[in-house]
Amino acid sequence: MMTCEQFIDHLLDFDEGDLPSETDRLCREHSALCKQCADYLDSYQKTVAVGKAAFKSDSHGSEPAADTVDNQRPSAMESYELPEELVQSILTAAGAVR
Amino acid sequence: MDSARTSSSVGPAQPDLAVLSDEQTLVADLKAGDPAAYERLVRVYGGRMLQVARRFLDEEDARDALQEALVSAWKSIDRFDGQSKVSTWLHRIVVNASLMRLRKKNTKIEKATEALEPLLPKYLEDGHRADPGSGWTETPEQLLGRQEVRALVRRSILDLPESYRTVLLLRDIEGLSGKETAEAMDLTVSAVKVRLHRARQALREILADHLAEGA
Ligand SMILES: [Zn+2]
Repeated sequence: MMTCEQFIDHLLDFDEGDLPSETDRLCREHSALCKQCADYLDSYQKTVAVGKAAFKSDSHGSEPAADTVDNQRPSAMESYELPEELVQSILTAAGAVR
Repeated sequence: MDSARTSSSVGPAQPDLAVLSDEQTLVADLKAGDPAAYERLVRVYGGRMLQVARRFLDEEDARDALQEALVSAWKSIDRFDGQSKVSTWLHRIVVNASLMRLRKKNTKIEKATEALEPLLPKYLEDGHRADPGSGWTETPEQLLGRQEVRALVRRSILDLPESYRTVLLLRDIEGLSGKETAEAMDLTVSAVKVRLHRARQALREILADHLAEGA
């Protein structure tokens, strides 16, 4: 049987169905017999899922980066409107000033 | 102007007929070289583009990358073929501009690997994990329903060492393929895979401290 270390090393490809069939079979066998690795696989997949979704606007349409919990990055709390001086600088840089 | 609503179409989003026809007008005006159309582009899409750049860069560099991206969009509007949405096109441009900035800063991968090491699984001699921990009971939907979890996930991703954060952002957040990420970062496809796997494992470890049963 494959070791836990080998199983976890293969996890990304296993999760994406990218493994050669024999390695894939050994991974399936391992996760069926090893609760720790089955848990690891489950939490790995959940990590990927929440990671992919965490930057999307939530169902209320509020802007994810503008939340107040995220106070380690004060810049992330600014709204989606650009500061006026930045707008002007971008307009000038393009030579598109009216 | 309701820029928050309109600009929410940067990145993957639902098609909206009103937005699409607005987009066609905007693109036609841009191609005609209308400076007012450029200003509209900057005001409508700039905020969301800046948010994307901020995931990769600190505030000052993010603003520079945004400016480079928008100027480059203005100058290359003739190459926009209308096959994708304007927002998707701009998203790609600002991601590329951010990567170019990152490359100039030339961070050391060795240091990043060192910083990530404590977050990777440890194994015993027999190949079992030394620190198995417990499972996560909540589903991704339940987890994402909690604002503090979403904030934790975002913060944890942004706090990853840069070269790992960048790969994870490109693959899992910005939706680039392995090949596209490899080209953008000047890495091999297998190096991208190794970094993505390590980044996900590190993120899993950080989240496990908060989300595992009994944590
Ligand atoms: Zn195992």
